[in-house]
Formats: sequence, C-alpha cells, structure tokens
Amino acid sequence: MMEDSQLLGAVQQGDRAAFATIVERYQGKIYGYLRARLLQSSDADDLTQEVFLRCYTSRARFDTSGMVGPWLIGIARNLLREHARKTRRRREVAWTELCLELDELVSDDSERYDDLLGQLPGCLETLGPSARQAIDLRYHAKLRLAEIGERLRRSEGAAKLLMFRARQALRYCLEQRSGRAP
Amino acid sequence: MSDEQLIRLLREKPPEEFTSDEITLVRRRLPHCSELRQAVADHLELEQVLYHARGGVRFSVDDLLRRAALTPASRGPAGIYGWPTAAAVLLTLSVVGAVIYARGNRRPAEIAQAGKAAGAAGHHKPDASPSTPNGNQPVRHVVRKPPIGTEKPTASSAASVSRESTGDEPGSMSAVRAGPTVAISPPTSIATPEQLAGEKTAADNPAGPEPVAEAWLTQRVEIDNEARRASAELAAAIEHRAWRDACRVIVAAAVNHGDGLAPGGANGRLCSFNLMVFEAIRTHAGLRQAMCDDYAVDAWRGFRGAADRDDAAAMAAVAGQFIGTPAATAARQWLGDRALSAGRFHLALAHFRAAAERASDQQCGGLLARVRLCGALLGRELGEPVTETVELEGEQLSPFDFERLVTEMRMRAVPNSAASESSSSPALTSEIQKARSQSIVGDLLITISDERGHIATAWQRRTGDMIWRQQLDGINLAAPAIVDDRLFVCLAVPDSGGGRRMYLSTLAAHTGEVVARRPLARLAADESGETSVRIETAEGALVVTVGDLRFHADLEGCLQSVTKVADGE
Repeated sequence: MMEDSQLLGAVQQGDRAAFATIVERYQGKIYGYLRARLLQSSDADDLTQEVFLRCYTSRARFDTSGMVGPWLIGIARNLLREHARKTRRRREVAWTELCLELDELVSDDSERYDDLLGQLPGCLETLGPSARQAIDLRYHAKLRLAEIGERLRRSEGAAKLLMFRARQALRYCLEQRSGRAP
Repeated sequence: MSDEQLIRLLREKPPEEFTSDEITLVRRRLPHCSELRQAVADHLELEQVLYHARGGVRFSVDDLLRRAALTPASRGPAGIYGWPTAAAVLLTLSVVGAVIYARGNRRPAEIAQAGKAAGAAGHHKPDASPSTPNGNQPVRHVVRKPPIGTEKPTASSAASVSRESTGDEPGSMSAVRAGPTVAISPPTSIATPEQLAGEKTAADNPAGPEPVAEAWLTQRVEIDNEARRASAELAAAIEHRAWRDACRVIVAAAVNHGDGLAPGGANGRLCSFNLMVFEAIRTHAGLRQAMCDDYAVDAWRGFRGAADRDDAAAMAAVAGQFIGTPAATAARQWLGDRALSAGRFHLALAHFRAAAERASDQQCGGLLARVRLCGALLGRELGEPVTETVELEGEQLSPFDFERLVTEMRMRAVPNSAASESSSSPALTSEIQKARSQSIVGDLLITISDERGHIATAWQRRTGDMIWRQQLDGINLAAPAIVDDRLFVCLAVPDSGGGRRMYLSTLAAHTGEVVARRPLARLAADESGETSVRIETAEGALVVTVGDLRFHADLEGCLQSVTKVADGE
C-alpha cells in the first residue's frame, strides 16, 4: 500500500488514480468530522466533496513531507468557518461555531481516534439488537429520532432513550477496549 | 444552568435538539470548564467515529476532477501572474457581474453579500500552507441515487437484434391498447439519462484531457447567448450558495432558453441550459429545497393549468421551469403517461426515470411501477417487482395484478419473426433495391433513396402499398435512427460559403410529417469532404456523431450537449 505522501506526490504529477485512492482512504474520516459538526447531513455531503475538490485544486501547495489527514482536516475546518459565516440559519450554525471554538481549545489525537475506530465494530457487536438497529438507523440511514421511533415502533422519547443508552454503552466499551477508561 | 447540568444535557440530547440559549450557555462556559470541554470533545469524537464507520457519502471522483478542471485559477500559487493579478481579475469579474445583474434589475443583495464574503475569503488568505488552503471553487455535490430501474437482461432482450411488435398489441390497459403498432429498435448502447448528464468527456482520459477549445467549438455549433448568460448567472449563484437567486435564474430562463446551448460542462463541453439545471438540481440539496420553498405553489398552478388545457408544451415548461418541485415531477409523470398512451414507450420511460429521480416517497412508488411497465412493453425487466397497489389510468391494481400485467406485456413484446417479412410487390422490391437505407416501424417499411433528391417513403409492408412520401429538406447523410414512432435523420444543406449546415430532422413515422428540425453543426468548405456521420440510439437519448463532434439529444430531438469525440474512438 502506498504511503500518503507518495500518493500525494503522484497526485501532484497528475495521477488521477492516486487521487481516487486518497478520496477513498479519507472520505469517511472527513465526512465524520464534518457531520459531527453540522446539523444538516446534506451540508456535510456538500462540504465533504468540497474538501476533496480543494485538496485537488491546491495539491501543488502540499508539502509531501507532511501528513495528508491533518491537512484535509484543516481544509474541512476552513470550510466549516466559511459555512458558518455564510449561513443565515443561526441556530444551525451555532452548533458548528461551538465545535470550531472547541477545536481551538483542544488538540487532535489522531492515534486515539484510529484506535477507537478500530474498536468500534467489536463494541457494536456487544449492543443488543434494538440498540444496534437504532445506531444503524441514526448513522447509516440518517434518520431523525422521530423516524427511528416510527421504524422501531416506539415513541420518540423511547427512541431517544434507546439511543442515549446505546451511545453510553458504546462509549464505555470503547474506553474499556482502548485501555483508557477513566 | 450549572456546568454539571450542561454536561448532562450534552450526554442526553442530540445537538439538533439544543436551543440557541443552551448552545450559547455551553459556548460561554467552554473556555472556563475543562469537564465541559471534555464532554463536548467526547461527544464529537463518538459522533465522528460513528459517522465515519456507519455513515458516509458517495460521490464520483471523475465528477470532482471534471469540476476541478473548471477552476484553473485556483490551481497552484497563482501561476505566473501572482495573486495581485488574480485578485484584480476576480475584482473586475465581480464588478462586471454586478453590472450585468444590475442591468437586469435582478442583482439581489444575497448574491452581492455572498460575493463579497467569498471574495474576501478568497483574497485575504493567499497562504499556500497546507493547513490553510483557500480559493473559492464552485461546489459540486455529486451524491447520486442508484440508477432508477436498473435493467435485468432477459433472454428475449439479450437475444433480440431488432424487435417488432406482433400485431397483437398488449391490451389489458386502455393506455396500452391505444398505442400504435411500433417496431422497437434496441438501443445500440445502453446509457441512462443520468449517465448522459454526466457524459464521459476527454476529461475522463487518464492520460490527460484534451480540452475542447470553446472558440473552436463555437465556430461550428451555434451558441445561445441568452442561455450562456443564464448559465453564468446560475453558476455564480450556486458558487455562493445563493439558492434563491439560482432558482430565480432557472425560472426566468428555462422556458425560453432551456434548449439553448452554452459552454457549461467540463473542458468546454456545450450543454443545454436545461441539462445544466438538471445537474445542479440533482447535486445541490439546498437548491432543491429553495425551489420547493419558493415555487411549489406556482408550479402546481402551472401544472393544473396545463393539465386542464391538455397542453403538453405547457406541461413540459412546468417540468423544466420548476424542476425539483413535486409539481414538476408530476408534470414529468403526466408527460410520461401521455407518451405511454401514444405508444412511445422509450420516451415514456425517459420521462418516468427523470421524474423518479426527484420524486418524493409518495410519488416514487407509482413512478417506479411505470418504469417497470415501460420496461415490460419494451421486452425488458426493469426494477424490482412492486409490493404496493399501483394506480394506472384511474384504476387501482394490486401488486399481484400489476406484476401479472407486466409479465404479459413482456411476453407479448417478444418479436414474431414471421411478421418481419415484407410484401414482394414489384414497386416495393424496386424501391428497396434503390434505397440508401430502410427501416421498419411496426407495419411500415420506410426507405430513403437519393433518386430525384432525397426522399423518404413509407410502405405498408404486407401489401406493398405506399403510405406517404416526403421530400427531405437536405442531403441525407446517415442511416436514420428509429425510436418509438419517430424517425431521426441527419441532413446537410449546402451554405453560400461552400460549407454545409447539418440538421437533425424528426419525422412522425406514420404520417411523414416533419415534427422538428434542429441545427447541429456548421462545417466549413474544407471540412465538407468525407465527414463521417452516425446516428445511434441510447437509453432515453440519441447520439449523433458528425466527424469529431458528438451531439446528444433527447427523444424529442432537443440537443442536450455537444462533446468532442475522444481520440481513438
């Protein structure tokens, strides 16, 4: 498997397949980063693509001795700022602004992130079927709580509680498995 | 609210349920409370990991690269001119754009503001460091639904080279019974309208694109200046995510200039304004939403008016002008139903597929059922069996009855080889010998000969009787294509400069009437030698190749895009 810096070097030489590999390798991470900070999934879809568009159009400026992931996250963060500036739906961007302020105050820990990501499938397995389904409906099918409740034949409040417990269980499992339990 | 309460809130409530006050409180406390910071960070981390692992977004890298190819100014550190020059050019363009808008009295404050904000963002950070990339490239959202009614090849469809109706028309539905007997020419290649919208261009060539120079292209293909202006306005509005302005541009230009060609695709590809709008609506959720918010009522009014008058042209205008609204989807369905009743199954299929792509959940079921029915009428299996009641022509069909109808239609669409034999009358035999081309449309044989000018003649196949004769308005250059009951011919008319003007003419196969004539290209005198011309049918589209130019048209003969034929094809 090619290293990121090699891939980006190839992209700088006009290699489209290398660019496609970078997209494939990082689109989940970038989408996750943006989606967690945006309330509308369509905005996250749009901005994810713009991150890679900007990555491609500014590839000449990338220092191939650096790391691709943080560079892409940097692009995503700049895009979030632009998005927050342009968007008039204040309640929606208030959350994004809060997340951007937090980014200024805490540092990224990509090693920990990769660790959690690796542990996630195993932790999902430990959930009960309803909780797993609720997680799937929320994060994969992108449904709202009311819709999840409808699908699971529960009230919205019950779906909310189910989601809360599922997230709590996942958090606990991830902390245990990564050996970083408080 | 205490910090502990805020932390509990973060753990219990999803962000979309936070009130503005709650978010403001969290923001205010964030710099002062490490536990709160940790709680928000934990929340984001888990969300990010879950969306990473379980969610995701699908998009085409090819489309991204095409989009990137349209933004050369953003590549590299400002090229040889440097940022000051780039900034000056951008500023000039902004001023020119503002003047254009102001002249049309349509420059809304929204675009002006967005333009300023974007301009500022683009100019004040020319830093080339990796962590601060800049530039304000247009966004291209290319998330796609899976193709509607993906085909499952059947034995009959795979085996058939040409298909002709048996004369025993499928007849469980009045709509189907009403259809004339038609021959169904199988597509020479399969491409959905969605694929055509994202037409493969030289940009897809891994060896590197060879951009089609606009000047070179515009010398040969007529550009619609109004469509060009509208396309530029639309692109500007989309770039700044000024969705309401984009909607205004679409509504104002779609009716009169929707078919007009303008540069608008990758590498200078020419596109109709309608195709650009189709792509924009498909890729930008915000644009779809704005169109629904602002024009849903107007669109339904237009739909009802067109339906009351039974006016297909007005209905097509609603479908184009208010694209993305439920009424536009209903208009497409109406046009599809009308085509289905007329036996124009390929056209109906194209309408239903286009409608299904933007349909609401409520509309989607009926449209997918119609796609399936059209497929059956063409002898193919499209989509999945229906599971809900289908309403057709005011009748409610249970899933079982509908699927039985689909099966019956598909069986009847299998060609009857005996029916393909033609009369051996002397007149017809003689005509066939002289003809440059011959085509079968149901019980008609249509020949095109160049004796005494280029003449199309339709013959009753069983009796050999002549049904109609039509003098073609030009020199026929290629074997015609037949889709449903339409005959598409490519004609050349010499011009005063020694060159030729090429046209795509559409004839109604049963009457010989010329129903449309669209200009294709101008060929200069030195190009007028042996230019190869070919007309092919694709799923829901026509592809006309004239030398090194490739024209894509819909089944009404309206041009959708012009590309350059890639080297080696």
